Amino acid sequence: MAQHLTIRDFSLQYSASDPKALSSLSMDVTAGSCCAIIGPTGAGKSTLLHCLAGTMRRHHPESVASGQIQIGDLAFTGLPNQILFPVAGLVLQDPYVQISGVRDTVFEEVLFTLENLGTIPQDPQKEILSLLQRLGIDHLVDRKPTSLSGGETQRVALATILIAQPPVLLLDEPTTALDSKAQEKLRSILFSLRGKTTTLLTDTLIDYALGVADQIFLLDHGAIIFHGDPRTLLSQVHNFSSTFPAEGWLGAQSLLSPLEEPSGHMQLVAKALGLR
Amino acid sequence: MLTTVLGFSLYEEGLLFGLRTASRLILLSFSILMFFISTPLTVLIDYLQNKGLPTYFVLMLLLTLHFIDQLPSRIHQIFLAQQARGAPVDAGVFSRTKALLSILSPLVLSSIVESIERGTALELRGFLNRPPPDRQTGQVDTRINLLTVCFYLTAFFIIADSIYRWLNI
Repeated sequence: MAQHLTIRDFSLQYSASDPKALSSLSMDVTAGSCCAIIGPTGAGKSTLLHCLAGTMRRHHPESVASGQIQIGDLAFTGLPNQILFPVAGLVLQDPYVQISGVRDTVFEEVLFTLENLGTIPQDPQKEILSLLQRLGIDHLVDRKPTSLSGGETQRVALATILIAQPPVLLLDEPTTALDSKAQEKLRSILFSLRGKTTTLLTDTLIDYALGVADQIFLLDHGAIIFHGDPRTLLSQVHNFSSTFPAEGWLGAQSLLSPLEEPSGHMQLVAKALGLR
Repeated sequence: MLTTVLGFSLYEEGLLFGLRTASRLILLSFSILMFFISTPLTVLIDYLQNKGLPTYFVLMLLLTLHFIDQLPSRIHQIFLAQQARGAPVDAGVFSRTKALLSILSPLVLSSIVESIERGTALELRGFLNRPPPDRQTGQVDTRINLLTVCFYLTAFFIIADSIYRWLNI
């Protein structure tokens, strides 16, 4: 069941002598919604996701954090001391490392997560196949997980986390290794998760987030420089042109120009935002 | 002395010592090879966990074995990348040795980074809290077949024989 995510005045330094990697962040993400955190490389997007997943304290014990994180009824002052899976499930940027390499088929790879949790259902076959069907990868069920393409591996990586039904799903730059067709597939998966899981995804590009997110946070140097829905961001996108690479919001520009006809993903964005 | 080759004198004792050392190395390599061919990683980690090895050690072992498994393809990738940059990887022995150094550095660094990320990914899937496989299914696999008995007996006699010879009893 999806959970509300709240972050209040959250700051982080990797060590007491380092500058702030995250600075006074505050966010409210409604249960079941999809939220995008957009920022250039080094803005602090992955850092934030690792804080929410609970890996930051384990991997950087010297880090200093202040503020509050709340996922549903779970509240933390500073950083969580333990990994929060399955409350929060994080899919890393490189999907290939998400594959354990100790299981021979995609089915067993997904089952491996349930084995780790000690919660194998009566009929795991049915549950796993149903999830793989939803993600459009049921035809890969007997394939070796290390022999898949980038887009397929990305969806298997997603399945390995979704099988635990995390109330909060964290996706670290999920579009990095994907071609436009696979990005479109991911978009439909994210839509299908609405209401079931609270999703936070990061990206370096504005265009993709416009079509999938209910609300968008722009992050730069660890601080939020914009927060609003896609339509509001679109109306102010030129204000952030110096922060983001031009190719990251070319689609958004095409939406703003009455003479340009949006193509591909931006057609869907235009339709979703009622712009064409 | 048996003979002289290129000015080097060859003695029977030296030749036997060389043969013995070489055969031990071959035996060691084949044992490791046999272990990897005959033991799927899945079976190994489940077995070690059932025997009570802490999950943290299983994780370390898993990452190491995975690294060994991926080593040839990783070396090949870096080799190609260095070749594309004009490194003399196909030239003479000296140039190849120099090129090997340029392969080692990215190999070690990328392997460390990948191991850390893979470890994190496994932690993020709850691996460190993983209950022993016996407890997941409620069934303990206590089957001992004839092949297993033969394997254990053979291994026992090989080890006993080695110790006997080593002690010169």
